[in-house]
Amino acid sequence: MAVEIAPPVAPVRALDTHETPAYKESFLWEWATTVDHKKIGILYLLTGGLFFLIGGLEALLVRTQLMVPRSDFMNPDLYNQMFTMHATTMIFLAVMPINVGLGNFIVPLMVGALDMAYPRLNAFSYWLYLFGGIFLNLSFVMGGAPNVGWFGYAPLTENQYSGSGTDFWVIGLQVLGIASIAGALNFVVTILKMRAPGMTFNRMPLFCWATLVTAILVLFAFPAITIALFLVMFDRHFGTSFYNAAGGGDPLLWQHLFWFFGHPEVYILILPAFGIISEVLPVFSRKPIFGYSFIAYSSVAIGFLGFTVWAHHMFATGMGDIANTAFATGSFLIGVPTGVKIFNWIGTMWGGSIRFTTAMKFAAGFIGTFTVGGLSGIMLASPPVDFQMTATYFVVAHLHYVLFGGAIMGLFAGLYYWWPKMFGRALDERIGNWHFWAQLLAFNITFFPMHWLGMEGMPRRIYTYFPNQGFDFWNPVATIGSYLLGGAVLIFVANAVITAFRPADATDNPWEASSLEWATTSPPPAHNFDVEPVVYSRYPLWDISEEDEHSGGHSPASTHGTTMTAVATVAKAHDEHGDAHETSAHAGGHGIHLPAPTIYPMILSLGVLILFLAVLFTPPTLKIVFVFTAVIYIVVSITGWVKEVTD
Amino acid sequence: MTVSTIEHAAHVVPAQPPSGMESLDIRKLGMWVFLGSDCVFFASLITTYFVNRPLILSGEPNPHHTLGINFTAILAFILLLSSLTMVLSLAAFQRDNITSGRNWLLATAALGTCFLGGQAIEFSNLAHEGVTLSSGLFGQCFLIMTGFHGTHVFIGVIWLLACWLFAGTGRFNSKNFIGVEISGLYWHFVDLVWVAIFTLIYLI
Amino acid sequence: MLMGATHFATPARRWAALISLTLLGLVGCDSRSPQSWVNPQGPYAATIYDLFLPILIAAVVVFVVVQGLIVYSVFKYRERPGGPPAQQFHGNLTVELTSTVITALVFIVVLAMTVNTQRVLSAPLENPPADAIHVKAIGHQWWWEFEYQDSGFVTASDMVIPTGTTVIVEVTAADVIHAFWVPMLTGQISAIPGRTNHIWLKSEKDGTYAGVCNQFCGIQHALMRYAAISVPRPEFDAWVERQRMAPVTPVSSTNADQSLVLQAKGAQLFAAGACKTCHMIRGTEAIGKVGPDLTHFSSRTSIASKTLPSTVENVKAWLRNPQAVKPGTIMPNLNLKEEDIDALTAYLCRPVDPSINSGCQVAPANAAKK
Repeated sequence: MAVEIAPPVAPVRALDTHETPAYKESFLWEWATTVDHKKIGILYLLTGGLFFLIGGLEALLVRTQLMVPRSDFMNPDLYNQMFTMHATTMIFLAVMPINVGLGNFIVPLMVGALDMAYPRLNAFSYWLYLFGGIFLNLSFVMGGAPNVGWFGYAPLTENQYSGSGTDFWVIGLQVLGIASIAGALNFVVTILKMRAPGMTFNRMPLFCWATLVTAILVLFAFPAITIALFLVMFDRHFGTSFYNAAGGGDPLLWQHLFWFFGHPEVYILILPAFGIISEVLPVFSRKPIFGYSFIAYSSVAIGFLGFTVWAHHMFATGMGDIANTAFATGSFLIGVPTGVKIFNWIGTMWGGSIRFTTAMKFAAGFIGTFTVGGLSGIMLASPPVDFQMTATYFVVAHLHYVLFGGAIMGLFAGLYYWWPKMFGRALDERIGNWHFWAQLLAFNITFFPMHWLGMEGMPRRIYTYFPNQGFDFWNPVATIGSYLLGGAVLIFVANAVITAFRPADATDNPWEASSLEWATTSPPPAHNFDVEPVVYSRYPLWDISEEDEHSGGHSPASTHGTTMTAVATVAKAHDEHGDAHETSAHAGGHGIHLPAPTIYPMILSLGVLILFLAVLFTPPTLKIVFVFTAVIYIVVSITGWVKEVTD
Repeated sequence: MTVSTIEHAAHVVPAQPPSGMESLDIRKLGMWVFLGSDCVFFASLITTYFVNRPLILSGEPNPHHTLGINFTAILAFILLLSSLTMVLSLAAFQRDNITSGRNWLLATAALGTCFLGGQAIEFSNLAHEGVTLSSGLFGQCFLIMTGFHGTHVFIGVIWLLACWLFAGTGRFNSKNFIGVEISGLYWHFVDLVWVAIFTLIYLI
Repeated sequence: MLMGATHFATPARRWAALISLTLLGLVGCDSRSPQSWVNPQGPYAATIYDLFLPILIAAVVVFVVVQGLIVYSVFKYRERPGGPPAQQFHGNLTVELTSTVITALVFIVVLAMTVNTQRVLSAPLENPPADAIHVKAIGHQWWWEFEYQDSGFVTASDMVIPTGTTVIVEVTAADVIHAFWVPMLTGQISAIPGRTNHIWLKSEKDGTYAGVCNQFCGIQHALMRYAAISVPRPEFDAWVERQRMAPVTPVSSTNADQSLVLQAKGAQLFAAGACKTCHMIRGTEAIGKVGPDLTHFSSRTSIASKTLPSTVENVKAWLRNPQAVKPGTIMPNLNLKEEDIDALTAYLCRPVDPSINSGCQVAPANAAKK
């Protein structure tokens, strides 16, 4: 059969007129009602970025207080609020949402879909996150932020030992938990059901593997903290004694429930970064990832094993040698797939022809800093050693090496890598170079000395320390490092702002990458792909570029006016997916149905917050009225939402 | 991708990814995944009860002295019956018997409401025997577990009534019954959880 | 360094690694911190250190290898004009299996050492030595209560122990979760309300070993320190005897000297006023259990959980306004008159045994002699 090749056509630009509505929509309304995964992704990134800066500020205040012994920069209660909010903000309001933001933008593109499985639910997740985050931070001006630590050990969280800040913490986390679970549901179904034809699991990009495992972890870990928090709520306000020893309860119940969530949570935080690194390294080394299968399956193994090691956070609580040994074994076991991944990443660079873009620097730097965190983690996995290290600055060093040197470094790699795809222009490479080196250096200056502080016996979560205890030298060093780190992050912000004024002239595939998101314009049109891609290997675009050299063809998105077969393929594919997109906004006359924008996800998410507030913050005599009103509001919102789906 | 590739694709490659999940509708999958998560929710509650069980059984008030198996067995039966009516409803829609489908939906919702009423009676009986949220380990563990279950039933009843309303507009038929099927999945799950609770708390 | 090139600077990374390792070594070998567990002074802490050191060395080796591989590969395989193209291999089963097996083997060895260490650490609890002493440590917000179970008295903050003798510590809490930790002598263990945990410690050398609360427990978690004061056995026994002695309540008489008059007034104030609702002094009407037992208070080396050394001036400062010394502490500001403060201080700081010292004066070497 003769090969018909259509003449080259200019790629579809995202701002084509057929995509803007006939009437002028307000900018705010457009963003308030969007159900487009790309816009929602950007919302997550912006909001997460803002909270990252807030969390960073809280950290700087903490470090300032610890700069000198017996400092009176902050009173102890304010300090306790600061470190509680720093951790809570970074974990729930910054790292997780930025993970979700990148995932939201990229995953549907990477699997060749036109959106997430449930676009309206996607919007709902975002708004719930935003309202939850705002609510949590309102506590600062409404009686004091939570001051019980992000892990809120009972019975400190009982109402005789802590104030209204704890209620903000409980409600905030519940709301955020619902948002996370809904988001995870979306990712799982999208990845399972909406991959392009030919994309088996074996051909799926590793970022999708990582996102899939992360989402499954969220679905199975969050219910545990949901229950744990409900029990705190009932203890505080409804007379129960789940965690109160005096009433027959057991404070350790909280720790078990919390860490059953808490340990998978740290994998939730790091796995997406693993996925990003696994995408970035091959592209800039110009060779395939070393050991794809191993990296994919080890992610699954880590996810599964992550549920079996929770009590390694409780080695020093007196569980006994047998329990400690069991959890230590699991913790060492989980180190094996993690450790081998590191060798696989190095193997990816090995023998390559490496272009040191900023994304690549962050990816390579990630391997180094994450390794340090992994090694300190192995030390902590041994219970006797843990007896001397737990709750000291050694753990603070460990967790920041894996979460900042790991997750955050990975996220920056992803941001630099996918920035042109998302915003149509790349971040500046020279400023990026400054950012990388400043951040790497400042990060190590801040956190490496904390290993030594831990070995000197400095406890964590103390608002002050005494002179001549061996803490006097490294604390100011770490504090200065933290200021430098803040400065480094600001370099990134400057980069983002400066490049925002540059022309949006990024090409489809500026990095010569291989995955499907690069097979469309930068940024993509509303419907993502003009033609639903078909996939024959793990590296679709690298196959094509090889083919291109022989046959002079071109990338999928530039193939306009394709055969009816292709359009039929697309239309047929959507019908057989059990199209939930009844309402349609036609895009480009390709017969592609996009879900219509709607305000109901935002309205409903507000209702969830109102319900929790009604349950906890209303006077007992009127409580039932407020709760009833909130329930009615929720029912009305859901009705409105459902009606839009069915009309 | 060249045009040749696309034509090739249209003839050879199926329109869906060969995931082995061809028969699983995207919305059903969503419900299954959500139910998996909800399992962990109830498992945490049941675990909390079981971790406290030794102390519960040796304290007062005490499940062995206060829980009336007979009455609750009837409630369990009611809920099981409601699962049956749910199945019948779905079957009716699949045969285009809309009226029958709607009636069975209503029956399911009615049985669910009976269950809730029965639970309310049970809770008030227990309160008279001194079992409340603040009466100790048994009261709090039991009431919170069954309370959350009851909330799930309540949401289910509302959902079934909504289905009943929608069915009245001719929305469900043999070509499109997925809404009923998904609500059925949820309802069966809620029923199963009750079977688990009933067995673990009342019978053991 | 090429102009405008965007490549990894090896020298900086290498220097950083070298410096860190040197400092790491220095810290490990020569620590002056009184809380440094890498400078163990008792068998429990030493056993842990003996497990930690090989793990640390293994970790440093892995660190050097991994960072070395990274640095090497980014240098050797960077894109160069005219350089070789990237080698398109997808993996190498041998390499992957080898790295998996080696990693697993290292962990198995560490796990085996861990299990052995655990057995050594638990042995004294399963078979306590005959001469072991028993102390119950109860964590309160924000002070430590020590009940000497063999001898039947209660004290706070200063845990005097005999050198060379095993001390079995029963650990619990009165309110929220705390943690008992004397880093140079022993590992830490949670103090959980409603539960009892056990740990042991033994000091090989006389000295004062810093103790901290190592589980966040509220606003003054940072100022909940104490000390394990290790003295020769005869001194310990003498200290125990003094602690067990019933305190003598000073009574004023017509030709008593000024200090006794002041002490007697202090005693009256203590027994009659707010003090007794929270504090206990054996043999008086003060039987409160909220705050520390103040019997033989002057024998202690510090006040407010080692926030301040025990001196007359510091006691007065505390009484004047506890909230200023330790904000958030449960003791409220009683707005005492200065003369009452003087009296109370005189009462509390009267020496246990005047032939030994003058009370409320820190002399660390003589701490157990008070």
